[in-house]
Amino acid sequence: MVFLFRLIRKNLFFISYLLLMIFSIGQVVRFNIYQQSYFFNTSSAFANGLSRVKTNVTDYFKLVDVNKSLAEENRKLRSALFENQQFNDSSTVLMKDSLGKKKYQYLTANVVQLTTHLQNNFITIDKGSNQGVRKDMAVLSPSGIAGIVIDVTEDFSLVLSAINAQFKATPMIPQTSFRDGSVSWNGKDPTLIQLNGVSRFEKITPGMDVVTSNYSVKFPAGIPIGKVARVSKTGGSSFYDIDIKLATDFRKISHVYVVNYQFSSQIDTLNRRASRGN
Amino acid sequence: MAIELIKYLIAAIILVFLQFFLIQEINFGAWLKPMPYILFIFLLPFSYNRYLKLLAAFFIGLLLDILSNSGGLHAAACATLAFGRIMTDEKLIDADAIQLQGFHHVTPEYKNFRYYALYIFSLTFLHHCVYFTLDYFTITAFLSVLATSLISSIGTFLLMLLYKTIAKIQ
Repeated sequence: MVFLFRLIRKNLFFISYLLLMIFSIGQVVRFNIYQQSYFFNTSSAFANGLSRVKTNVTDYFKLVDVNKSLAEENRKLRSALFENQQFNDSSTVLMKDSLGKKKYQYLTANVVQLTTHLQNNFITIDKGSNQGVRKDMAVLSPSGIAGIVIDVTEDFSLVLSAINAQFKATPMIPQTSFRDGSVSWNGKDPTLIQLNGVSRFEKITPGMDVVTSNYSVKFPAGIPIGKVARVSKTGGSSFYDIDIKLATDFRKISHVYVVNYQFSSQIDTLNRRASRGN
Repeated sequence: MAIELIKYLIAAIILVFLQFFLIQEINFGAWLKPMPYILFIFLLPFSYNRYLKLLAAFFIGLLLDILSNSGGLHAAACATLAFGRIMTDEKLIDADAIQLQGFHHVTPEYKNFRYYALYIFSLTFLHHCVYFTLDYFTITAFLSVLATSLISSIGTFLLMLLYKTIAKIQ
C-alpha cells in the first residue's frame, strides 16, 4: 500500500496528465459514437452567447451571397409555381405534392454556429422543440441539402452537417437511370462531397445534376445535392470515384429550412412492424 | 505573480478568440489547418508550477472546444503539448541557464533561430498529430493525419512568428 502511494506520488504529474487526456478523449469518443449525448455542444447557453456575437458579425459579410442565393431560390420557386399560388406570410409554409399525399412543412431557422474545418462538422440553429423541430428532420439550405437534426433543446438544435464523415444520403441523377449508391464526405474539401457505389457501366459525365432520391424518407425528393465535378476510375474497381461540387456553400450559409415530413411517424410505425415480423 | 498571470490569461484568451473568429473562418485548403493559438503554451514562463501550466493549457483548449463544437480535440492536444513542453524543459534543455540569461521562455533571441525553430516546430507537430489523430479517428487515415499535421505545423509556425512580430511592433 505504501509502495502504491509512493508510486502515485512519484508519477503524480503524469497521472494528472493521463486523467485530463482520458476526459478529453472520452469527450471525442462520445461525440463520435452518440453525438447527441455530448457534454459541451453548442446547444448549451454559454457557447451560444458567444456564437451569436460571431454570427452577428460574420452575417454582414455573407449578405451579398445570401441575397444572391435567395434571389436564385425565388426565381426557382416562381418558375415552379403551377398557378400563381400565394404563400402565407408566416414562418411555416405547407407544401403539398400533386397527389396531396406527402406533406412537408418548412420551418425557417438561422444558423447560430457552424464549423467546416473539422472531420465531424455540425451546425447549430436557433429553432428547437418549442418551435416543433424534432430529431431526424432534414435541413435544407436555400440552394440544396444541409444536414439532419440530431439533437434538440427547447430553443436550439444541433444539425449533422452534410460535410460530416458520418453523414449519408441517397442520391439520384435525373438524366440517367441511376438510383443507387450513397453520398458521403471524405473529410478533405468542404466544397466537394463523394458519390460512392456507382457502377462503371453507368454513363456519368461531369456537369450532371445530383439530387436527393425519391427513396429517401428524410429528405424530400429532388433537392439538389450538387453537380458532378470529377469522374475517375481506380484500376480494377468496378465502381467510379465521383466528386460532387456541393450546391450548398457551407462557409456561407446563414439561414436554413427544417423539413417536417408529416408522415414520418407512420413510416416509423411500418418499419417497426416489419422488423418485429422478422 | 498574480498580475502577470492575469495578463497572461488575457493574452491566451485573445489568441483563442483570434483562432475562433478569424483563423477557423479562413479556408486554407484541405491539408492546411493552422492553429497559431497554441503560442500561448509556448509563452508560459518556466517559473510557473507545472500543474498550473498543464491545467491552464487544458482549460484554454477546452474553451476553444466549447466554442467551436469540437469535442475534446483542442483540450487533448493542448494538454499533450503542455506535458511535452514541460518534459522537454526539464529533461532536454537547460531551463535554468535560459532563465539566468533573463528569458522566461525559449525565444529566438536565446542562442539562435534554428534552436528556437526546432524547439517550437517539434512541439507544434506533436500537438497537431494528437489533434488530427483524434479528429480523423480512424487508423486507415494514418497518412492523411501525418500529411495534414506536417503541412499545418508549417502554417502554424509561420503564423506564430507573425503574431510575435505584430505583438512586438505595438
